[in-house]
Amino acid sequence: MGSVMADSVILNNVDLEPEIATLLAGSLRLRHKPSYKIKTLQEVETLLLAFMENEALLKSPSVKNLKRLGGGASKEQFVFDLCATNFSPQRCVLRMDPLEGAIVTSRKREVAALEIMTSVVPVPKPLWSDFVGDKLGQPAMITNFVPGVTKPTNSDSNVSGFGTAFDKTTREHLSETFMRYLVAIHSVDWRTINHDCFQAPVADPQQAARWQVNWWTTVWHNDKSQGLPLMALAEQWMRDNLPDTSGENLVFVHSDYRTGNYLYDEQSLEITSILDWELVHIGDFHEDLAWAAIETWSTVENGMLMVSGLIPIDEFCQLYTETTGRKINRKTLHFYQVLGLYKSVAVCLATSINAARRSHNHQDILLSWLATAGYKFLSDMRILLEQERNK
Amino acid sequence: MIPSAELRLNTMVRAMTESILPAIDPENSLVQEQARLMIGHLQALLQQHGREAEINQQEYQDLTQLAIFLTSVADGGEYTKTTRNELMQALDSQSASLSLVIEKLITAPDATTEFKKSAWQPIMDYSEKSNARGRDWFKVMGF
Repeated sequence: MGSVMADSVILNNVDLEPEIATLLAGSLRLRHKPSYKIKTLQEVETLLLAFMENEALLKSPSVKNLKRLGGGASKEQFVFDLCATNFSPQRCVLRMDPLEGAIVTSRKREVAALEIMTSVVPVPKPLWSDFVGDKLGQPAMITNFVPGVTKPTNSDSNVSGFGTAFDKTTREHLSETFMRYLVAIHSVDWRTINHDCFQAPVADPQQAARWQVNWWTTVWHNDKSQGLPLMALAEQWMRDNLPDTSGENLVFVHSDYRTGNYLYDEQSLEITSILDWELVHIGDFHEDLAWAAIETWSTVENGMLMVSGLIPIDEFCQLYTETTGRKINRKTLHFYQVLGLYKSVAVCLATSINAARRSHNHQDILLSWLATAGYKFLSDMRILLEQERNK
Repeated sequence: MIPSAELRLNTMVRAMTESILPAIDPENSLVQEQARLMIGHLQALLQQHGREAEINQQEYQDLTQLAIFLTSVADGGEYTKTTRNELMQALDSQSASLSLVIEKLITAPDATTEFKKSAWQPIMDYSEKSNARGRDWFKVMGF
């Protein structure tokens, strides 16, 4: 079974996936660092050229049209044209960790996920990486550039994926592929993949849910600057209501599968790439379904929730079951919706604020803006918990 | 105070909108985005100007009421008892850590089921008010 089935470790008596435990412990060490100095384009170009020559072993490399990409609350992103005498010219993307961001994730896991998924769904192709950051200044990866948009070019939504409304034709095209690719991701048999950076929650039926609860409650407790009674209530409720996950329901969970995290071509309406694999893990398939249906990146039409602005929730669940044979448990779905909102509050009202306060990000101003979405997530979480109580 | 904070914020928005933003390279999407966010933050500050102390006071009052209720019903093992005492001290000293201690008590691992049941609705009621206040406060940000 390879190292995927490694035993779980306990960090401060918390049962967490070992890679996540290591990652969270490492993030605490970054806190005392001085302000993050944003690199100039010239500095980035110099680092890239040295990397291409010494690490990628390209001959006479040149970097042209280097530009920063907007968006990306957690990563610094650059696009550039790469040429060399022993390399076909290619447009590339450099995706680099700032000192701290909205979430703490590992480039090593992200690259591993891209390598696993490259033959399954369209993803950016990983070309080179620097997991430690001693060559490129910060942990980073370089992929090919994939064209496409995350929202209609005339859209007025202020953050990619938040409340994106599509016209009927676009919606019909995208929803079919959106569903097909989700099913394809969940069909990958993680048991056959020998990759040491993913561990499976197989110690007991509740470990999948417990690992996620422990991950995000640890993030909240480590990063919060003030308490929120509702977060405590949600934590207590989740711990009292951990769902079971049977082995066949354990899948590679993308964990941020929603509108805003795929690129599509506005002419052909084809999805050109599924993005943001940094939170991928082995877990319960309900987690991705619940996340895609969070209201903030969905829309409501005639009183019906359109998952990620694309497909009515009932149809989404029905299609998923028809295609995969997996039966959706409404209680488990509800649990993962609460978890998804809890996670979103932790990201907005704790980690983002902390990173901005310490000037540890290249977009502190975006983080302090995004933080205010936390109250929307909190309100939605309260409604979900109330529904549970009234059942 | 002359000039007022309101006037200064208004002039910043105008400078950003009419002079600085048009001068930024349209190809530089990151800087364009940051400039727009800055205008948004300034507009939010304008709308919130002068009300922050009042909002914080309302929040603290509601939190205090919740804390008083929780100390009256908290029941459980040693951890719950110790945290209940900690919360009473935080109330007496009007400590800034009040919200943190409330969280600690709610998540106490040895709390009784009765305590959890009786705490549920008051926490939900407090949160409804507090969330509505937070959403209203940041409404201008578009969430």
